Amino acid sequence: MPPTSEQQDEHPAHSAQAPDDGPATTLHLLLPVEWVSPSIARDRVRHWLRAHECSPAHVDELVLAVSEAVSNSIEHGYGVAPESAEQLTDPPGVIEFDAEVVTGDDGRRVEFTIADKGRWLDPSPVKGCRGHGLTIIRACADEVRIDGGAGGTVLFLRSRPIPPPL
Amino acid sequence: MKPASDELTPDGGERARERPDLEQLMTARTGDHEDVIIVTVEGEIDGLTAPRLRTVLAEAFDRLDGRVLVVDLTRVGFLGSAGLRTLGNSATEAVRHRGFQPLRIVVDESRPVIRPIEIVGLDQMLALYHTVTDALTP
Repeated sequence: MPPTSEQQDEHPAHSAQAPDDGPATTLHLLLPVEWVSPSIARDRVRHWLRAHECSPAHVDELVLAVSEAVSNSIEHGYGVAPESAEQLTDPPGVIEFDAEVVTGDDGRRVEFTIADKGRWLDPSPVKGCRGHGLTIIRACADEVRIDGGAGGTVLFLRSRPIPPPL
Repeated sequence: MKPASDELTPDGGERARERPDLEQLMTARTGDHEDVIIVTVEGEIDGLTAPRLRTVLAEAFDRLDGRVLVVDLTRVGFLGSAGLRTLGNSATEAVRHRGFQPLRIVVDESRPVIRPIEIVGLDQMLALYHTVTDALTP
């Protein structure tokens, strides 16, 4: 048997540098708190997941969840109503968005962390406009955690296993 | 009633009103027919664009005058909770007003549109059709 060539190395020291190594396994975005940000997040995540050859069904589902998570931060974390979309001149903050492809025993998944400085984790969830967003996020994920504190709110989302490309 | 084309090309008696938007993320075009107003939406419906869709639908309601309102979403590539809220509110408005017929929503098998509708159960509330032609068939 020939020795393992560099191209077959399963643990490249520098992922996502050379074209041979494929797309970056992480995605980091700083999104302004304004209503254009969900579309920016969708666009970037869509391209990134496609680069990882995720199926269209997985891409659609995760793009939907991500868009809702960012929208939640804007609307409930910072209290920016959709109606104010066109008047906003000074975004009140930044949303930190991180995503990573992780491979474990049960396959490949994508994990997202969306952190804001707002407080939208209401201890007494009211059935209303907020319900739809979280309902959608939960339906599109395997696991969703929301941690709220004085410093802000962090939403963590883990996808279902995403089969690798054939 | 003149048959509607799935191609959505305004021709004949249709008066199409272009609504150029600032962000190019979504366009909503209103077509007036004898028995129906068709609002054709293209692009992405989220918190940025949903307010504009709400305005377009409100204007359509204002001059519906007994006609059917059809909202064609077959060219929509994204539908988020803000858009679902807009559709749900418009459907409710259509039911509440005397003389209004239920809002008719056209969606094909496009997953980005039908999936969120099903997740929040809006398919139980909206009258859904696969094509504009279907939506116009009594």
